[in-house]
Amino acid sequence: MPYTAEISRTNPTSIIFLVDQSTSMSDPIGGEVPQQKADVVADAINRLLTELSVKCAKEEGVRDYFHVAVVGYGATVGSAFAGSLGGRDIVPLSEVADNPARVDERSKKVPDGAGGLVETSVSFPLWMDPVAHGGTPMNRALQYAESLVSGWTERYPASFPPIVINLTDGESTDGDPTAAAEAITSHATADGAALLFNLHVSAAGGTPTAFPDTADGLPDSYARTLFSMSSPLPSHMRSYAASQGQRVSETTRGFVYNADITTVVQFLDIGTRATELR
Amino acid sequence: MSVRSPTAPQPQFPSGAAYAEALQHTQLCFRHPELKGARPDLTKLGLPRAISGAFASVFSLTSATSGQRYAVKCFTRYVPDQERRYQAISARLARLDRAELSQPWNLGFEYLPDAISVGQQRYPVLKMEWIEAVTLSSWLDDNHADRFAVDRLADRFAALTRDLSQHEIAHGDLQHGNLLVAGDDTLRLVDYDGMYVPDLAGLGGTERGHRNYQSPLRGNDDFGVELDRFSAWVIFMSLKAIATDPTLWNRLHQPSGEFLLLTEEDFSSPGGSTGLQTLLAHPDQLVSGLADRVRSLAFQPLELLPPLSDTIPKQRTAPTVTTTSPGPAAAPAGGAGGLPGWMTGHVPSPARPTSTATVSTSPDGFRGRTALDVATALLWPLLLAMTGVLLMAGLPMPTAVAGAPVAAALLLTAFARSRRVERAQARAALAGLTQQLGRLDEPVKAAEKLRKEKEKFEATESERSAAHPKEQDKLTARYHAELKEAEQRKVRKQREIDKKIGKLAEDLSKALLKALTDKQNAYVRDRLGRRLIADSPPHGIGPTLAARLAAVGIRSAADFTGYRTVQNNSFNSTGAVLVISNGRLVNVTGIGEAKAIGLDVWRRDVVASAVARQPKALGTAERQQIEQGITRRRAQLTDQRSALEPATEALRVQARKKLEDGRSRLTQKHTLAGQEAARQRQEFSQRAVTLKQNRAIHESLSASVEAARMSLRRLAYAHYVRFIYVGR
Ligand SMILES: Nc1ncnc2c1ncn2[C@@H]1O[C@H](COP(=O)(O)OP(=O)(O)OP(=O)(O)O)[C@@H](O)[C@H]1O
Ligand SMILES: [Mg+2]
Repeated sequence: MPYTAEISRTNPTSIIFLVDQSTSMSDPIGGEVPQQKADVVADAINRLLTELSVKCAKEEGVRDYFHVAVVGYGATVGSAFAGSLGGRDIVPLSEVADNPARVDERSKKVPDGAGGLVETSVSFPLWMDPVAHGGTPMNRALQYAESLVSGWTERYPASFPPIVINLTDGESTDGDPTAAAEAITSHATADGAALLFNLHVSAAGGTPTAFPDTADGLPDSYARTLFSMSSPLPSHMRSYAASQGQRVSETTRGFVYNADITTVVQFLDIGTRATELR
Repeated sequence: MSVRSPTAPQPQFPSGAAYAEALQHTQLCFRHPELKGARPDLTKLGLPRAISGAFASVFSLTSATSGQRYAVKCFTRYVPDQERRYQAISARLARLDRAELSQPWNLGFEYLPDAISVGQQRYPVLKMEWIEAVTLSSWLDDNHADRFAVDRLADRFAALTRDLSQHEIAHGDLQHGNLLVAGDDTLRLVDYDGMYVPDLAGLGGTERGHRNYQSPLRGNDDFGVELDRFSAWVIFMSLKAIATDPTLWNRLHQPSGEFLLLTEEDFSSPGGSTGLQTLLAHPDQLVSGLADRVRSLAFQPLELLPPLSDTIPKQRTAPTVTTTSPGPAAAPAGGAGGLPGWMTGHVPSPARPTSTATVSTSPDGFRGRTALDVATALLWPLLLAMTGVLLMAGLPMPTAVAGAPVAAALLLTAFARSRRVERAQARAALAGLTQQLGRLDEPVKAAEKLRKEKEKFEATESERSAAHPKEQDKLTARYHAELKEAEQRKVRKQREIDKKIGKLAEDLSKALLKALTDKQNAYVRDRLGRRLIADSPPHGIGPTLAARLAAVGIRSAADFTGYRTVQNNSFNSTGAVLVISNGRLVNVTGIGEAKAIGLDVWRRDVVASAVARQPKALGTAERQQIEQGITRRRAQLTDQRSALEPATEALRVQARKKLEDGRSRLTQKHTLAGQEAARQRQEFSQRAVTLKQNRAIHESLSASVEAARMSLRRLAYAHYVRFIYVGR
């Protein structure tokens, strides 16, 4: 059965984030407190890197079950890591965990235990900063990811295949991204073809949609294109999504449209919870 | 993985990172007096440090009030009936008499519902005593070379499983991360999430356990005393094997691999597995026997598996000190099929499937002298003495005779050696191994072949991906060409119509002129018709001539148009014929040239007076009719012109559709090709993996072949001679 390989240090998986950093990412996006799309996406990725680090922490430290790349695309295409990892492509998770660009203090309201809320500050490690500048060279970004994916499958032919997660607000400015997307999923390890998931953050409105199994009802052609580019969810991810209360079917794809921040993290989480970590 | 109904969404639990964030403020997130304000161990970044498993993150917290250190387990996944389970487990473990246990492996814990607040909600935690111990895998990293310590740990492990099964407890997930080794090298058992105790019978399991420790036949719903049996055998076998041959740890355990010596594949497809093959081919029968045991257990349902503890004597087994064990005393009598002595009689000898490699082990030198060996040994000094006596006696005799006793001794020794089974065994072992090695593809060649095929594939694949945009461009180019052609056609037609419209003014004046001319001509013709020759005859035309003219159809000025002079040959005089309206010539008797001229002058006068009175302009109605005709024509042309744009648009739409159809066909083709490429690459990856395994098997087989050769060498003549005296 495909997508059942054990994720371990000897058979690690790579997760490649592609982050849209085009000018349009500075537009605000809904919710009670509108946020810039670039902030939403940067937060999601920083949170996720923390999540992965905790998930892979063992008694002796963080284990390299995953190797992670964060690729930005906007005015340029390349590593979006800030700080000491700046310029690096695929980095072992243990190194990621130890080297955020900085640790911010953010204020947060938490229950005080007596029925009220109290404002506290929490430490929040940051690996990338929000950027919104330039066009949307999605094709180039996907091609960049393809070269990483191809190198990875060559190096770890027995591993769970690499997962590419593209976070964007829509329109590619360097042509139809479909072919470049297919080039990614045409790479495979013994365990299956590489996975491409898309997270569409759009100010265009419409119903937020998570893991749809049809493009009907998606508001625009960008959403539909991104939907059709996304890999079908492997069965264990499907059942995980289902256990989280998502409605899923056989043709459910790894696509989220205009999801709010929690769904964003949830989506990424499912994408990385590839199989039981052992 | 937990059992759950597929429809109802499970209650959601916070993630490990969410717990770590909440634990930044233990003063706020806890209510329990010992946990409130407790100090968590921190990471390099100064954040609470987690130890995460598949179902939970464990944090070390030191109580601010008591100074006590706790392990606090925060759950990241829903487990049905969790509280009930922990209460039952806690009650059962509380009844154990610590003094009776083989070692203090059990762990004090307290299940605290609603203990921690994360976000807007409260969740349970498991508060445990913190155990100062390392996981079994890290302990082995440090201690695998200490054979005595490893062997002792194997026995302690066996004793632990005995403790469990005696009290009808099963842990559910025995593995290197849940078995901790304390400073005094005794074991501690952690992670009771999936534990079975009799009170929980019927509840169903919560997880399937670590994949590298489970029987392929363990199902989702298995939950009972026999849960640990397979993993217990796997762990015990691994520890015993390492104790016997510590090099196995470095050979079979990949650094940082999530297993001891064997993995999932070894159990599910033992034929192709490196680990199991190496152990099965191991020269030590304890190792190969236990490995064979694990292999056969993998195909039996859990409830049929023998508990590890039943098959091992309770007293501590002495550590095996040499690799050449078992010694002669423990050597199997023959019927036990290579099982170690202590297993004989307890365990039915498992039949080895013939498909997988069966290696008869090489004997390690000669063992156990037979009567023949003893006789040979005794004969040697005797015959040598005989030769000595013969020589000393100084009797003259041929050297051949003198050498006879020695020759006899040599021959007898050779014969006795040939009767030893060890040599046949060693040869068979060597032959078997060599044959197995021969069946494997030569790894280097196979790798080269794979590399070449891959290279070729990648070349065609990059051609294909390069062709795709070109094909797309071709479609686009054709589309543009079609658009251009439609546009050109439209412009050409527009020009034609515009020209016609521009000429309409000219057409109007022409038509008006023609209508006037027609009208005037009609008037003149009418006047001529009314002027009858009989009524007002021209000069010289009398009634007779008029009658003759009438007879040929000439009655009015309209009936002829002129005359022609003709030569009358017979009289050599000129005559005339008249030209009638249809152009024919008629000869009228009595009309000669003069009369004809007269008639013509008369006709011309009539014409002149008619022309003088003909109408000079068209009537209004006539004129309007003509003008309307032109207007209609203009409207027609204008219509034609405006129809051009929609017609062109239709062509454009058609071309667009053709482009889109072409594109989707191309995309589909590309998608299929992409899927095919993925399939092909997956196959390559599979081959690369197999190759890697084969390389390892190849290496270990080669090593075994070398060892078999060595052991054959140990059966040489000289060794035999030593053996018949020394016994080894
Ligand atoms: N009481 C304890 N004292 C010290 N360390 C502990 C204790 N309990 C757990 N640990 C450590 O935490 C790790 C994970 O704990 P545990 O096995 O309970 O979590 P889990 O999520 O159920 O893991 P899994 O199911 O993957 O084994 C253990 O491997 C061990 O290293
Ligand atoms: Mg555990």
